[in-house]
Amino acid sequence: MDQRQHEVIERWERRWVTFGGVMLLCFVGLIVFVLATEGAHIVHGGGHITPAEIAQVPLFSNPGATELSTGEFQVGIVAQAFSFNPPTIDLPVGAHARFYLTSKDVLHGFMIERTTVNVEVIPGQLAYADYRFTRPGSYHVVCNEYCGINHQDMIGTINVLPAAEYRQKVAAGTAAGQAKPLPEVAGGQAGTGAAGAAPTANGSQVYAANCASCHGPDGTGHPGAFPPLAGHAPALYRADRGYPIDVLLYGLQGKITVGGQVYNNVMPAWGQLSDAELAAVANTIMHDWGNATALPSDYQAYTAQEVASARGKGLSAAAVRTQREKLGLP
Amino acid sequence: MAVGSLTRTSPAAVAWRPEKRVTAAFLITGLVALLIGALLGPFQAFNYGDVNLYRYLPFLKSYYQGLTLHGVLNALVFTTFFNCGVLIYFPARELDMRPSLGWLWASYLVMVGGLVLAGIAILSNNATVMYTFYPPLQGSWDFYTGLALVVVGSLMVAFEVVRLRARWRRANPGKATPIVTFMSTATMLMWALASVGIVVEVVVFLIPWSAGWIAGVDPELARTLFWFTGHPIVYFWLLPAYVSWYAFIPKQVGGELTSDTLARLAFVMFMVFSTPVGFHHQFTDPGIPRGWKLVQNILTFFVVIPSLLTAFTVTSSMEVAARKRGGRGVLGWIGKLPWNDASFAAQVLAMISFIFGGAGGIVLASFNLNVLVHNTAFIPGHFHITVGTAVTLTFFGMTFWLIPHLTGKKLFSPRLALWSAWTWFVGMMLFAVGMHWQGLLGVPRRAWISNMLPNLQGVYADARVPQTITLISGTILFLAIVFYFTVLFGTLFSRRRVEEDSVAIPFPEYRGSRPGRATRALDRLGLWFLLAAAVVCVAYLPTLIHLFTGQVPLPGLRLW
Repeated sequence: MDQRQHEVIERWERRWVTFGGVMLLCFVGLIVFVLATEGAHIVHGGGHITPAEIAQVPLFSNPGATELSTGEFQVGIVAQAFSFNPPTIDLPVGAHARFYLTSKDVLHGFMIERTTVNVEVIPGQLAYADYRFTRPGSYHVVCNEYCGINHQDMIGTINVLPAAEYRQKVAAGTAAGQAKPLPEVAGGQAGTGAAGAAPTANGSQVYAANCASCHGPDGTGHPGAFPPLAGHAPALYRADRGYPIDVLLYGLQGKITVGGQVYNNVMPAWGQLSDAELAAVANTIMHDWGNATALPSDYQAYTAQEVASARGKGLSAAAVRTQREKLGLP
Repeated sequence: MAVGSLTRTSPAAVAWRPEKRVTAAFLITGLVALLIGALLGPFQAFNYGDVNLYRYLPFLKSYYQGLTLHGVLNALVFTTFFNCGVLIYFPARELDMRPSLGWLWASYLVMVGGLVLAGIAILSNNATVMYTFYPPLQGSWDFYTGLALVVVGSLMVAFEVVRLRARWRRANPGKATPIVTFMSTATMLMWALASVGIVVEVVVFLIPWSAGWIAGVDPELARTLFWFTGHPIVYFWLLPAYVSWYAFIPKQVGGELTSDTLARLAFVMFMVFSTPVGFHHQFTDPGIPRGWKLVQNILTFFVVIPSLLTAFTVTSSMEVAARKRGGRGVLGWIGKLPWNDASFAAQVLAMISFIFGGAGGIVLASFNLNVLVHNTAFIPGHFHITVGTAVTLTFFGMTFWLIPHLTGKKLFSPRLALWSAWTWFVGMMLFAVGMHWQGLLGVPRRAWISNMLPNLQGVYADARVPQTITLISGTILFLAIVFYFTVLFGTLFSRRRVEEDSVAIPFPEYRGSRPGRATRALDRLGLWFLLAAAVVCVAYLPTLIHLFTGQVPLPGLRLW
């Protein structure tokens, strides 16, 4: 390499590094500008909230959309394996929504497709992010952080409806994913949750929205991870009629054996669903997938009142497992 | 193969056999891990083509178990073993000084022990937690212990590299460290600083937690400690490739390194700025203050500078060599490069992939753009043309001369070696197109999308075209794997020997002049290390103290 060549290289090198430096400075300037002007859509931290506290915070014990003032929405969402609660939310066009998020169990993602909302949902942390929906349509909400065996099925929906249609649905009580207007305090009767304020519940729908992601659409579960309900639920009924309701209300944590297979996992508590929904889903589970044939002749369907009276027990998920051990299941 | 002539023939080539043996052990273990991990790759690619081939793998319970194995073996095991092998061997030969063989074999055994432990945990489906293993998902204790042992072994090698250079400096006062040793030491020092995060996460929290000695771990704190190491680890993967690009490629194309000082400056910059950047993986985390995210965003851009320097210096070195070989014109000289040399072709293709990988990296490091693609298929698209091609294909290119050099075996079919480089490059570029595109359409990363519930099928229907591209890329990459490992094992099991040390390490020429002021200043690696530690403290300590003092410890869950 001769001297002249060396000089040429050094000259171009200076130009190249200057170009790179100026480019990066421009990028930094742009980023700071965007953050200052419209940075609200990027996640903010809202402090701590433990999974145990979720049931005591109205935003999450009664999750869903609340219209604070015209067009301004607060939307509480709980992420849990493998669904969002509520799974479906209706909002009007033009809604400016602030999404509050936390997780009941492990890390999840909350990404609304075709928007700038993308949040890492971390148990123990409260997160919020803003978005204004200007176009009507159905938006998928995708969990984009690996959360377990059915991670791919953790998908919710936000329906952005024409304003008039949204108002109609709210008036008729059929709008999905709306928080209950007046949060109740007494008796632990928390919100209406997933399916909105429907007075009677459809067990199959509740199952599909909340249970199928782990226990499978056909109740067969997932070997080693989540126990089957098909062929197993009637045995629980026979052992103790009240036990399945306790599992639904308070969850179940610890090692259990079903059909010779060991499961060491956690089922979250579903107390945020209404009494009618829980009774309906319990009945669906007892009847579907051929379970009905294994039920005793004196079988009686569960009622919402029965669920309501079991809410007072205040059990822990580990205590439910202790209860299960005493049932003497095969 | 047009690897350079004998430049630094050791008087007794045979005398280096023990070092060659331990280096070969590191390299071959890493490459076997890569073979297993890479063979799962096409299954992943087919998943993102919406075709579920996992049902035909009876020894794996799920796509997620396979993906964990793929990530751990390729990203953590292959790279670490390969780096440890080359980063001690090159300095030893350059300085003509023997490292402690007992220490190196001990390091190797610690790492192999870790690999076996972690491997058992993953294969028995007890640690399907991905190579990021975010709590509260909880793998079994042997998974975390195994990973810790791999890191400990690599730090033992780092210690030996630093010790070797110190010994040389004592014997050669006033001289600047030779360039390959300088680069290797800077890389290992960077890794030692960067690994603090993962060591604390695993040793203080995850092992006691998975063994049942402590009840809970704070997920945000663990995630932050993970990314403390998780981003600089990509530079730990990359820098040995840079050693080859700076120090060996010029010689391999018959030229010289155009700027020794700039090469050293690049490595010092990597040492200082590689670590305080992890928050750019956590832009969407609620638990990290936005101001510190912005600070680390800017610090990440600082690490772009040494890569820009590298792009210039390496390209100009190649241009000078090509013009010496008769190359003319603005771009015409490119044709005069030794494209038939598989070692060279693989590494230049690796460099080309890194142009796109680097550009995508700047997008991901930008606070505001990141939210559009965070945790989507864009991310694996990105790192398959950075670590998956820029690094891996460079390592392939290095093995085409290094394995014959170490084993004394003739390279098996240089033609097939050339084919393996091109198919890997084309396959990965296509894969990247498919995955970046899917990510922009909102397809998440790490999702078993070929096995979704019937009522959810069609959620990603608008991604059909990029899905098909990804699927095709998986097929091409399968061929590339077959080609490369045929060459590798063909060489290892070949009976055709080359003369001892006739394939020399293509060390750069020494000008022999006294080191300039800049080179002497850059040579004070200990001082630069302290500066790096100080920058890390400023960028991390306030947030880490906040997270440590406000922990929300949670019990582990197994959801797979």
